[in-house]
Amino acid sequence: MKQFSKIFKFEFLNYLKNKVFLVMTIAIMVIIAGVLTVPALLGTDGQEDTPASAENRPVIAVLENDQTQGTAEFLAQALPAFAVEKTTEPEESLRSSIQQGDYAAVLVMRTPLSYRYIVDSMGMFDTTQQQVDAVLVSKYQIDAMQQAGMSEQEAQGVLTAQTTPEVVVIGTSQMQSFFYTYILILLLYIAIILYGQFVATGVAAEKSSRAMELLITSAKPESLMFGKVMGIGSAGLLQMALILGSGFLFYQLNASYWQGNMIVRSIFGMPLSMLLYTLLFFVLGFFIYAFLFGALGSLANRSEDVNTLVLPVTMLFVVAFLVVMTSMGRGTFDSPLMIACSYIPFTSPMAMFTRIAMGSVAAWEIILSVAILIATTIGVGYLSAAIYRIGVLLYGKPPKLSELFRILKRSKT
Amino acid sequence: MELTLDHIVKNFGEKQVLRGISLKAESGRALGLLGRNGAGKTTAIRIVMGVFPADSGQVLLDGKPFDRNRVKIGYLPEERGLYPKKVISEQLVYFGELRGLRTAEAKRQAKALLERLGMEEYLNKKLETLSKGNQQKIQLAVTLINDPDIVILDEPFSGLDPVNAMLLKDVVREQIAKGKIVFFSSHQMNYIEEFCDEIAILNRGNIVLNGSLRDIKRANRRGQILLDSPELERVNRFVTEHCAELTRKTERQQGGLPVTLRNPEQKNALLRALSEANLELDRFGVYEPSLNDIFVRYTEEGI
Repeated sequence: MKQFSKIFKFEFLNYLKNKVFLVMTIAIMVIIAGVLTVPALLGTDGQEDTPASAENRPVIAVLENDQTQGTAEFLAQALPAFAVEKTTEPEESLRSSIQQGDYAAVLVMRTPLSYRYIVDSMGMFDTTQQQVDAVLVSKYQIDAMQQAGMSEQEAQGVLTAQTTPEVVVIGTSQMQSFFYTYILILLLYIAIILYGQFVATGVAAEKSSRAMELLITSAKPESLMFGKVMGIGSAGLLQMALILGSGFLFYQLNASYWQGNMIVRSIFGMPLSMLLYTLLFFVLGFFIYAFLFGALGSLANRSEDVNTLVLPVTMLFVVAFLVVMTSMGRGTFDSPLMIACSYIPFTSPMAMFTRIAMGSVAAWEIILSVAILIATTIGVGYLSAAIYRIGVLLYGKPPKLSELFRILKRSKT
Repeated sequence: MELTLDHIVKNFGEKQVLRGISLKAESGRALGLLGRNGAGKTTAIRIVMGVFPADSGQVLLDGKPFDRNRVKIGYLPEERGLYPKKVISEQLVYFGELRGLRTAEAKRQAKALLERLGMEEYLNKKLETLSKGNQQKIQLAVTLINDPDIVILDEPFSGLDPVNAMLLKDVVREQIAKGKIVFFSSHQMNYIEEFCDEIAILNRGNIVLNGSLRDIKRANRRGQILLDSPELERVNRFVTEHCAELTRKTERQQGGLPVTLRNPEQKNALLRALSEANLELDRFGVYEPSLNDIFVRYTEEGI
């Protein structure tokens, strides 16, 4: 236990004293502070479209006929963003006016519901024609209702009728939790894979610098493995806490500005319980993967070999990530695949986390999933220490999995 | 204390590395394990250190199974290496702490050791900034950081210049004088000859020779006489021409004329013959074989 705490301290301080690690952490904090503060200082509130002034509104020319009298006035009322002009010029000259830029668009009315819409070019997101369409439909409906004996106000009231709902969500509201869940999953993914890799490269570096033989004859392999994993994990946790903390701090400082932004507000409005679940699943997920990464790192000869060796584990984790992301995209959180994944130890940190955030999970399900995860993690921890014990002295070609288990079995007996 | 290796057998796959070796190292005496490359020296040392277990046989301390957690051990592995990017004092303290020292103790010990090795100026330098020989000395400091009772050194002289080798010899002598068990391996005979009391020659997984260096040398004289004379050429001619019934082989060497007798008992007969011939002799003595001679004979004969 004493050895463990010494190793833990050594590894933890190793990262705190590492300049790259420090600079990275501070850089990320500064970026977050900037992203949350700069727009507030500039005072733009995310709404780029400012209403066009009366003079330079785009002009829509309307060529009416007998059947479609009054269309221009109705359009002018319904579309305040445009200047609507009634015209009597022939269609040919209107076309040349469009090319000269006098008109944004020309409507040649045939019947109340049929018209020719002429523009010079149509932008990808130009919805003017759809707006015109909608206005013409409602004019037709109002006219029809008026003919049936309703007043114009009554007819408009019917058309623009609205409900006043009161939404009561008993489970989780996916709308509200979507964004922060997304961010937290991403955070879990990055943190587990990043700090896991740190463990692998750390072990491989000790091996390639040949410090290993001295280490394993000075301390128990279990102490070395657990001390290293926990030291790096704690350094990672501290880094994450600093980054998240700076996010919350700068959000609070600029809270009034961000009130209008639904996404940002929902991210920082995440319930404390979700943060605690993130912590829980980070710790558990990190451990199970870090042990594997550590064991694999011990098989590498040089730091360059590490990436190849950890690839299978990384792939496993990417698959877990993709399953979760697909379910986020589809909005199905309690599908059989997700339920299965939320109990399999290597996928459960992310899958169960997502289900807690977005789906409906009973308390016993969470407890079961976490219990399976903890039990497996402890098992993987001891197995990894045993592999590490052997791996650190194997130089040359990294052994195949089957060979490794043969050696392990032999060394046990 | 007495560290015993009792019939240690170790195979790596099909390859038999140690075929049942037995050795004994005592407090206050240095035991040198000699052998050619690949003889099994490092394997034997790693088994003592518990890096991997023996297939059969056991390591005993004072007759009881060797519990590495209850004795202070200093180990200099053949694979040298520490943390290249770390400050030296930090590493020394870290390894001291891992072997059970308190932080303050470890710091004190680190400083004292570096002073002893003439390295105190490097205390706060990063290891990678040092020359290879100086890194070796730091490695030695790590080995001795916990003031071990048993000092195990695997090829301690490799990579050291003569001055540093001398320093290492002095440090090892101090350890021996303090009554520590010193057990080390080497293939550099000249160093071993200087301070080793006991040697064991390991050849192809077997101990082919084991015992106190002086006894071994005495036993290996094999009836050789070393002659020296200002008129060595005359002596050489006389011996080959007139003493053929006494000697088997005479070959002129630098620094003397070793003569191999047909029968070791005929030492005096040769002396009489030489004095009757009235030859001027500076030296007539028993030829002591060097450890090198013994080593070469025992390891070559095994092939």
